[in-house]
Amino acid sequence: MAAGTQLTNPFEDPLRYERRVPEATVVIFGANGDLTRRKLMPALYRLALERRLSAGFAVLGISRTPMTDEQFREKMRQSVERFLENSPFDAQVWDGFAKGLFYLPGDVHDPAAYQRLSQRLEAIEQARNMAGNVLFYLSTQPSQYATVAQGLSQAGLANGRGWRRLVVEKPFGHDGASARELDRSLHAVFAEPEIYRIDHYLGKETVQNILAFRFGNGIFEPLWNRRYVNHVQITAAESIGVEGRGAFYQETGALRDMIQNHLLQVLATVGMEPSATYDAQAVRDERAKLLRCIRILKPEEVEQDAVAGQYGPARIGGTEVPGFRQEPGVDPASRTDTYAAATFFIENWRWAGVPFYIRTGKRLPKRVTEIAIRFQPAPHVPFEGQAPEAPPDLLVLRIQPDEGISLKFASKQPGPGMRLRPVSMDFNYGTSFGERTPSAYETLLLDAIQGDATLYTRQDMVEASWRVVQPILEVWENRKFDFPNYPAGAWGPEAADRMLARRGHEWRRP
Amino acid sequence: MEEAIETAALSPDRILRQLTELWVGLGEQQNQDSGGVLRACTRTLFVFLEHGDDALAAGETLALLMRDHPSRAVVVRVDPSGGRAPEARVFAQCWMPFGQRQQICCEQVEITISEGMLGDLPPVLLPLAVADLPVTVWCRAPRVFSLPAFASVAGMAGQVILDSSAFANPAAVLEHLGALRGTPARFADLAWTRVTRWREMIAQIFENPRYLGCLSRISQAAVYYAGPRIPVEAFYLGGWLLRGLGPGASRVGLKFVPRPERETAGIAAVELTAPEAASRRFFIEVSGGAAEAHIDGLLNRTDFAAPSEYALLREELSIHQGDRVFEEVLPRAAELARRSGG
Repeated sequence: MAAGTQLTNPFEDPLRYERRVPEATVVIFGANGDLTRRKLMPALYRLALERRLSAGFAVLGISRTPMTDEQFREKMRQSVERFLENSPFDAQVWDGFAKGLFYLPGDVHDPAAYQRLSQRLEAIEQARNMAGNVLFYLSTQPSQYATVAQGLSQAGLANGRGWRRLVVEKPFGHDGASARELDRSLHAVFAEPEIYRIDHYLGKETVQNILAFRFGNGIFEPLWNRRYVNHVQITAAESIGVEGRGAFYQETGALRDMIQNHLLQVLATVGMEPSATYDAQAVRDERAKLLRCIRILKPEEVEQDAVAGQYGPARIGGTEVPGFRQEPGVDPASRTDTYAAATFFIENWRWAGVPFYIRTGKRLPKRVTEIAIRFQPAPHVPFEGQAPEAPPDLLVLRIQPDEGISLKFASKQPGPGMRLRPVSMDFNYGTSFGERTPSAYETLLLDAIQGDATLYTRQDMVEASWRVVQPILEVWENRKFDFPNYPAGAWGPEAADRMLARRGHEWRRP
Repeated sequence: MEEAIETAALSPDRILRQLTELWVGLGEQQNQDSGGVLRACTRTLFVFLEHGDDALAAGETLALLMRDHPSRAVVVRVDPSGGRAPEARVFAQCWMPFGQRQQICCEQVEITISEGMLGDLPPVLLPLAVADLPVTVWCRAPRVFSLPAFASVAGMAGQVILDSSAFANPAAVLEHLGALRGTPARFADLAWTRVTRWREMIAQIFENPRYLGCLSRISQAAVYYAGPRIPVEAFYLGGWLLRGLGPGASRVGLKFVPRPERETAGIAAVELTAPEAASRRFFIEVSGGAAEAHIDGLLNRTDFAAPSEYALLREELSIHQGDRVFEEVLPRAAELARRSGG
């Protein structure tokens, strides 16, 4: 074999096995935190249970808390048993998996911690016959991202025998300027292809299914444009409040927390052009192009096309529910938006003139995330007085819960005469595929270890999203709101209804 | 809900009408119970059983399978004794997913025929196939697969599934399957499916570039088995190992080694040895529901439950295209079986 030729594994069989994970160590900064315990470790254990991790796979957790390897393993075991969803806990599998768990106490601000990390990594790789691949996962405060990247660089950990990758969690900045600043700090150490920015919404199976639905079928795409689509509504509603995260949330708000990242990514997935191939570069190019096509609201348009809300107290089902300002850790005069809605227009040939309405909020009547595509009504309906006033002509892509797709249309009611009634044709993920759906973190961790960034956000996408959201934020920061403006358990402030009514539309009741 | 209706003769129109009536009945029930009923169907599955076959086990497998691959299941029981009047009944297989009030239902048709009628069956079965959805034949009865009339039944399907390990002469079945390559139907063998987990574990070891580098120096391979004869799965695994070892496979001595101390028949362990390489011995052994991979002193343990018939079928039904690896391994496995007199 010629020198430098990459050997390929002749035993691969993609038709039969799940994707193989190369030998790698996942180094988690913030290993004692909530995200590690609730999401990352259960996801890694699930991957072990499904035999997707390689024999030498290892996890090295770092945080300030002093702990031994054994104590860390015990703590993670308890977390996995508690937070594992839709899966059994298998003690034998855990024992094998736990042998690859290691812990290093250390402060991210202490340069010596990175030297110790380097030595520990070397020892683990030797003991487990590994190839030197390392995935650094920053599950810390965003303010520490730059510090960690710098520490890794100074200890020579940003390069090594195998590949090095860095996973960062949102928020990617507090505004456009801080996002660019964070990007400069990370790029000083890691190249863009080595940086994986997690947007866990993109890891959801149902969000990925939007691409399958649009580009895997020939039926829908011809209708997917301004000629046939009247408008699009994207809803991400939470029935819960801030759940003890009031102090964090009041610094963020719904617009930053949901629309700037998750929902604009969903919008981009709904509106993007088909990519020639399904690879990271091509798919992300199309998403980024779409985001850049969103018309930026002028300050005078923000009043009409963006709505902020904050929930007040209410009595729901015999229980008193506090308003946002009464939540623990929240300023009693807080001006934070717990609800945000906006109208966006995409300035390209496909979507010109089609409103995309986005809304998200806390303490709304139910937990639901879905995309509703309202098609143009029939140009002439001959059944005068017999057809529903608002014919459905609706396609609903449900992200959660009850993941699936519904097509709602009018049908003749049985019996004499010609009376039309709306009916629904449903595809439900649960009934067509009995298989368990992997969690977003399982999918995304696996992708990062595989080097597949298709479902990760790229810096130009982050900047394009901030470009859309920034003008709204600036107007809201200088405006006095009469908060609270919707009671807990309602579908948001009245101004959000007026926003749609101006264009002759109304929000769906999901 | 079960709607059993017997018919005097096999009329597809009548069976289809009964299916319609079944759904009308379920719809009425829907009006009484607010939860409602949802019909689910992703394919037509024709299942061939022999009279006296373990109908209960087959029924349980089907019931489980319907949740992953909701289908119109048409179960055909073939009675070797002649002169039996054909019978058909239709019913719904329903379940309620946890936490939901809506029932999900699949249709099931059961047909009993005498063996002599098998050749007349395709005109009855063809109209029962759900329009525009794939058709799969699962032949659980080895003798039925061997009947000349079965060829016309297999011709209706895009996929035909059998289990060669249930046949008296696996070598002959592998030869027969090899001869069927190129026919419109895609044949799948559950004995090959049983090897997937083994293959997956071996493939995973060689994801490590260090181990992959010594693959070309492997000179000995052994497949350990339990049971009175070499299982057909061992031939498949041996053939697959030789395929993976590529042009250098000719230098590899492949042995099938009995493990008399093991009670459960099947593959017990696999060993690959490269005496001249740094990483010299790769050994995977399955015992007590767990697999242990030993590589140069490093031990990795994972669960390894023997796959049920349901799990095997579930895997095969999830594949919607030709299995190139199977196609390439089949002649090698047949050759190994022929040489071993298996």
